[in-house]
Amino acid sequence: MNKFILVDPGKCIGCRSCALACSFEHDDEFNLSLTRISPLWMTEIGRFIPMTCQQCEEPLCLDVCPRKAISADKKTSAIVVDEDLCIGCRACFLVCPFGVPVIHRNKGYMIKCDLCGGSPQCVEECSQQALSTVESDDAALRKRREAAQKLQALTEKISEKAS
Amino acid sequence: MLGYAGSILIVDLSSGKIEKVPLTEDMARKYLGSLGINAKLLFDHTRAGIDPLSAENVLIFGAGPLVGTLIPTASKSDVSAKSPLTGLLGTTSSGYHFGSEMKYAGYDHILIKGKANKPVYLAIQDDVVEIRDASRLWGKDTWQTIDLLQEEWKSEEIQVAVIGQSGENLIRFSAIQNGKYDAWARTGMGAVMGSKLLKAIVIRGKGGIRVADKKAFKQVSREMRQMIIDSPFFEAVSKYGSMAAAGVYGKFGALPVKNYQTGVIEDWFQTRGFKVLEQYSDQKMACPACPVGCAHWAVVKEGAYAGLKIKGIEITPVFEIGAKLFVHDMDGILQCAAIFHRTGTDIVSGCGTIAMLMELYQRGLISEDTIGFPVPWGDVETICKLIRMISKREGIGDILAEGAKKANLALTGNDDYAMTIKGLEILSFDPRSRWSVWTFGILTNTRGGDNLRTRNPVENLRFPSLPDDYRTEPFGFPEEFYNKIDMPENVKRKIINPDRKTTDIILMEKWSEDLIAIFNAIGICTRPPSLQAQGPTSIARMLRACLGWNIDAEEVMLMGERIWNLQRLYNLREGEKREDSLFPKRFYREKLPDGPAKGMAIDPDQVNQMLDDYYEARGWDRKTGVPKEAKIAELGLGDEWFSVVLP
Repeated sequence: MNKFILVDPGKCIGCRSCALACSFEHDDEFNLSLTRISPLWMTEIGRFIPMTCQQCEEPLCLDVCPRKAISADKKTSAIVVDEDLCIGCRACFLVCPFGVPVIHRNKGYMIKCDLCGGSPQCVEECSQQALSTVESDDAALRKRREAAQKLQALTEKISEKAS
Repeated sequence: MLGYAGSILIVDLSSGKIEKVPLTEDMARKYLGSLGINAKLLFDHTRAGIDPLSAENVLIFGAGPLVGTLIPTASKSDVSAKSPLTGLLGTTSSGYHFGSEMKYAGYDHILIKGKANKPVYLAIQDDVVEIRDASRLWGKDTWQTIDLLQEEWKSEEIQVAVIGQSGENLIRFSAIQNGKYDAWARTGMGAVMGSKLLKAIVIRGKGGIRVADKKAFKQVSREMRQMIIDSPFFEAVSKYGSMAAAGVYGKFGALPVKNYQTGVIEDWFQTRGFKVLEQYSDQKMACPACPVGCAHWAVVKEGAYAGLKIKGIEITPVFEIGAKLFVHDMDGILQCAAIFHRTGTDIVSGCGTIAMLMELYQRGLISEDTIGFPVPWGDVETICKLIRMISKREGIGDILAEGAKKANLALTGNDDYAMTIKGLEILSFDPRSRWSVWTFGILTNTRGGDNLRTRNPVENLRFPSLPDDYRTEPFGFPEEFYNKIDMPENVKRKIINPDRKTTDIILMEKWSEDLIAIFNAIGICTRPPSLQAQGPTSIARMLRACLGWNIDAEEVMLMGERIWNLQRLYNLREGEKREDSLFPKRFYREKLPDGPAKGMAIDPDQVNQMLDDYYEARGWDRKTGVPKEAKIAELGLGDEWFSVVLP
């Protein structure tokens, strides 16, 4: 099962440290147009939502790539791009539901989250613990636990009102 | 150049000429960036004595060398010009994303000169810079303008510096909004932009910033973040932002209630204290790379202003609107703040000016007929109406638009109720209630009556000030804290008394002014907990890793002192005199009527003595405050000095 970066939008404060750490790690510079993760401000709901690759189990980008440049990394399980094979055709961008793949402005090949070879720098630099690297079944359990806590609080409220 | 973007963008709106000149290493090494280089550019690009609202003034944006990187809190940019409010140095800083976007687009500084012949805006996309027509934007408020520009650019990622009606109509305390909710607010920079018929600057940058030593940079940036998180101030500020201190000021009776008539509000804590924040916000907002996130996204859920959404509930609007203008509830405070933002008006000077009017009205010194309607304290609709009238120079608004001092003089023939220093409306903290580095600093600030260019990193708000002692303030931190203060040992022993109970106000004034000049030059935040966590040693480390310079703590502080002295020389050139360093008359004449500091007033003789000693400590002439030759030689400011003392 693929590991991915789990986002907790309730914790993100929009500082962009994740985005800065990402381009610094991959391109040795602070550059928001080369970043593989973007915390976006959603005015309507009043939340920041960091958007990055979900490391899909059946990645559409991998399916459509005409050069077979996209594959699952054996060590990290991340969906990665072979820079030499990629021709920058953007087919992956067209099919990705999350808008993840972008073409590197200076180098011409597609870039996306590769989990930094196993220790994602965005997770390391997030001061709010809004990001974590997880396997999806663990993520599901964590989400259920949080939901359970909310449910418990709700039950307490209801019983308070009833008494 | 590493760390820097490497270029200054110079735009002449009169001729339409746009040029990109390199930022030289010499200039950077001498004045560092942002505030420092802005001050140097202003000094060199303007003649003495120009009219601030003429085409001869220049408007300069600057972002320091660390801005745009991962160094925690490094996001601040500075805007400078000759101030139309004070006639002296105009300088104002703001966080959020504009500064880093400037760097990504390739510019450390943007200097705008001349005057357009019709409303324009400046469009910057990396190397492509255009002066575009802004006729359809002129007259729109800042929020409408940003919406229209986002639509035109089909992007929410653009960063926008924009003026509202206040800037267009040359209100002397108009702000430049930095996006919808942040601002370069102080000293009237919006009017300078308006005088040039420049409605906005839109910037989008897709370049990057490189540093000298990746590994060292990563390490120092992580360590600094941890220092901030470990600071004793982190928890409270991270939860409640600047509002964490709102209760303390209430406790000291230091609130600027009804134009400083008293320092106390009975139900302050319940109605306007930090806890109230929780009813409005469950979302923190941070400037780039900041682990604190002191701002909050606030939503008004019910009442007359239901539906209002705004980034805010900050201590300054809460003090200014909630205490100075006596607005009782947070809904009303947020509504007034929104109108200030939309019209592009400085909240502090705006409230200071409206408070002056309300006090004249309260005392019967101005009639309802003159104003056209009653102006009772705390009335939200009246305040919003006045802000709008000021922003359009309508009716009484035309007089108020000149600022509290000039308006007071025009209305009553004296300036008894103008709470200004050197023409700038002072903010918040009443110096009668707590004499300190911070409150004395209002007098020595290079931009006039404002305390944000002096932050004593060891200020201890748990203790009241020492009665009848103007020279020292309580220290009161434990030994462990004392040992950790980032200050050379010999300096530390002079500034903080060996028994560690008191801080010398004069010596700390100089230290913290120089230090904060550095904060503003590199672009890091001057608020707690960043204030306590970062000092010259760590700043030198950051600069070494970022810029590759061989620089130590001593050189950092010397740069800070140079930047402070350069600002001083600019003000002397523009005619500042020692006699201008006066608190508002009320602080000398009237004792605080109630609260913990009841009976306190400012002693003019003591303040005079303090000024003598401060000038001396700075290496300036004890009486005139002109920097002495020896100090100028040490700082390498000979050319500037000669142009001031031998004009």
